[in-house]
Amino acid sequence: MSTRRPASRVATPVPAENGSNNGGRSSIVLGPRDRLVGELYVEGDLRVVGTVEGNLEATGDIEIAGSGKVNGDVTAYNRLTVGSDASLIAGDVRVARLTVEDGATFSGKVSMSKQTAAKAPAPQPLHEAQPQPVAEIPPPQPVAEIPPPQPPEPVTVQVAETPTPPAAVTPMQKSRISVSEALNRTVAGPSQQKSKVAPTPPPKPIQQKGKRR
Amino acid sequence: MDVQEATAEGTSTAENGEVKRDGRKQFSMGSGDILEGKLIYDGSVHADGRVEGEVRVTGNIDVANGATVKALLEGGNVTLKGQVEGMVTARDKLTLGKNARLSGDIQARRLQIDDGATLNGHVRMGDFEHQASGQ
Repeated sequence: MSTRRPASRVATPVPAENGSNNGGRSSIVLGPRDRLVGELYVEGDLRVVGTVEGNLEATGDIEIAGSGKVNGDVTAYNRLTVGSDASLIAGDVRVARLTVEDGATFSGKVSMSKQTAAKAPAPQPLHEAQPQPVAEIPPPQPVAEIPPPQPPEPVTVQVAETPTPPAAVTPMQKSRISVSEALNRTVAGPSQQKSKVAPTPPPKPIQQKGKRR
Repeated sequence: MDVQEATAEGTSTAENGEVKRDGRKQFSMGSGDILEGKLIYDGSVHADGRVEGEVRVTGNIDVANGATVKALLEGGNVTLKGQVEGMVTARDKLTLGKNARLSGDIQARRLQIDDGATLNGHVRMGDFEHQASGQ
């Protein structure tokens, strides 16, 4: 393990040679005696002739050639090639194009939709767009917490805020009650303005405040 | 060479959709044929047109380009060139041609996927358990 002979070791190709076709993108080659344990993300192409234990992700092509062995998830935005003597034991394989040569060892869950491969893959932790459900849940809770500190304040403020939370939780009941009330009031005749106010309690107070201010 | 000769013999004598191929039967479908149900066949199957259900054969399965298959396929050598939806088991070799579109799990001893093929499913190689004889 510790005694590597530089002379006998196959030279790792210079990235510039392989990267010339990529228009400036990087190209990484893991030679037959190279070994990677961990996770690798490459903006460019990756060629594995050695051993990899971990997840690989490349924006270009991934080629597992020669006696290369990969044990881990593989994501290639473009093409994945597994050579005839190569081995890929993966959990998830996300690629746009796939070539498996006869004789190769290949196993895993393959996902080949162009959308998933072209766009940023789901496993990346950077893309977290899930604050919305969290924002939707809180509204009823803070309402219950807010009232305690506000009792000493003017009654008009409580009246303005209290109708908003229940309106969001149970709009159906509110609307039904208001409609029935509105009908009764319209029958009574005198208070048509009140009937209009009843069906839309939440926006009204806000608009009035804005007009006043 | 043997394969070519066998193919020539098969096409020449194909009349009832069943031909002899190297002494083994072959069930051959045309592009306008439709097969629905479960087919257990002691021979090879050339699937074309539309196939729905289950196909288990002792020989090989060949799904033609342009065929639409929604079925469980099990055979010795399985070659897919058309659109297949369902689990595929190849006791020997599974080949996905460049125009193949497979949506389903794969179990095969050997696997070849040509560039251009589309695959969505779980791939498992080796450790094949003979299910054809049992079922």
